[in-house]
Amino acid sequence: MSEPVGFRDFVAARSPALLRTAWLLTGDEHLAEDLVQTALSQTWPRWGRLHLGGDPEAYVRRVMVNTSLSRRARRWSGEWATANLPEQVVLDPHDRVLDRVHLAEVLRGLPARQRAVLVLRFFDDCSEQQTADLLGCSVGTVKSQTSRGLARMRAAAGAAAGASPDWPATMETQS
Amino acid sequence: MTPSWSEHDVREGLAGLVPPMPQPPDRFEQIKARVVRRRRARLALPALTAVGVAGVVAVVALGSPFGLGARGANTQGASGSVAPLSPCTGSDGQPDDSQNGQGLQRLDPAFSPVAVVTCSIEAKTMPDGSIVNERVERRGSDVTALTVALREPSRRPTGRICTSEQAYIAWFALLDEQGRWQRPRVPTNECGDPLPAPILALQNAATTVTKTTFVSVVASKESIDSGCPQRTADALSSTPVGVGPIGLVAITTNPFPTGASLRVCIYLARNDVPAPQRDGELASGRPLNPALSQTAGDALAGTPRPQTSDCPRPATRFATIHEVGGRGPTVEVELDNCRRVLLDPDSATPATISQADPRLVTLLQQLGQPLP
Repeated sequence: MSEPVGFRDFVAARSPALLRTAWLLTGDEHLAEDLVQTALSQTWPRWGRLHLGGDPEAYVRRVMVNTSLSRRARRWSGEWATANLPEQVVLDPHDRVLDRVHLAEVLRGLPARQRAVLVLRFFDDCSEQQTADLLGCSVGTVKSQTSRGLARMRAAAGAAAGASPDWPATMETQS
Repeated sequence: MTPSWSEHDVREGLAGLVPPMPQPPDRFEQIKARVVRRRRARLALPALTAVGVAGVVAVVALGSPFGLGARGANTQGASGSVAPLSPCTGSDGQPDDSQNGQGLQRLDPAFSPVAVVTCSIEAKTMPDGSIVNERVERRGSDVTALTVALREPSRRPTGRICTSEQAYIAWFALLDEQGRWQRPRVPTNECGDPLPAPILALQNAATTVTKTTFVSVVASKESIDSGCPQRTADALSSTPVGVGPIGLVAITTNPFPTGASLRVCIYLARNDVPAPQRDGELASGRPLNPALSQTAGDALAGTPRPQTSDCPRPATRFATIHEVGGRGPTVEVELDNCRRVLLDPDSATPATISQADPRLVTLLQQLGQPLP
């Protein structure tokens, strides 16, 4: 089987960044690797056309996002794999530094599509239009999902800091 | 964390959330195996429909003696090699990937391995941030477990329904005391899949890197700094795939949306490579600020219709212009000789060719230079 010109280089150069996005979408190292490989293997047959267009990475990310959303049955089990046991989190209400463990919990609790929107907007630095293109939805939907996602994260932060929780633990099932 | 989380906090939080993850050196080969597997599965589907699911699945499970079907790559073999040659070689700098495929025999009973050699292409980040591909040869001398696992007999097909998955096995060879080497076939289960024991033994074999050879630049510092791909196809060297006949037209308006952020990349054409595989190596490039993006887009407006799309002398340099993020049209401009302009609006609209004037060429050469 012939190898598309430049595809091997693309895989080598962009896989680390794609893997980080995939980890945020899946919450698991192995699922992330599988997601990246799935997206890249689907990109291979279209590489010639995509490479011609100048930026095939957008296509790979679109496949990754859509695949992760379609794998809802494999959604996070509720645990994040970490090398060390997290210490008890004590939040300072005035501390603006996000705690890693708590942020992971909050992100895990978001509906899959909201999580994807936040990852694309605030991790991959996609514009609202780019995010809409990747998700196949309108800019208005991206805006509303972003707003709701941030609101849930802020509400969760408030709950963790002592305020009343206003979002259910079963949020995942509502996506 | 507080209810006053800002977007900045979220950005910083997400950036710090992802743990370090190992980069498997054989990711490309695993992707390739998936592509092969999907193609074989597609090829097998019509046969399944025509002959009947149960019967054909049994044939697939047995492995087709003609090399057709969804599997068999691990069990076909006819050319196990015992020869005093360096095993980790490849004419194009890539190790032969047939360890997973055709042409191998069982480990010769008379062959006594004392070492194992693996070969792989691995990406390496250099001190300046650039990324190169290296061919990495590793050797290990503890081959007891691997040898035992390789001498296991393959399981006989039972006729049970098998999946079409195909495991990836790294390229490896065994060497004896005389320095002769052999690439053995891996024993398989009743479905023709490699047994897990030799794969695990290979993965767990203690090896050290004995040789690294530069293969290619994946991304130069210029590529990383500019965001331009290190190589790109010279689309004007051939009819772009999938866009139909190319029309000769004038570009009358800025082809990019108002406010679009553009990136200009300049490539040195590799004219020693025949079309349509011809491509270009990145020379320079950069993302443009909004004002310069507008200037570049406006400069394309008024590009006249050429007399012909033919060009007897291919360009030695060409520029690409596209939106940062990869959306929207792509423009390629030859910077010398015929100075043709290829406008590829999107995947659904046929591309067009126009004629660049010297002012456009000069402008793009200036815009494509990195900032001091």
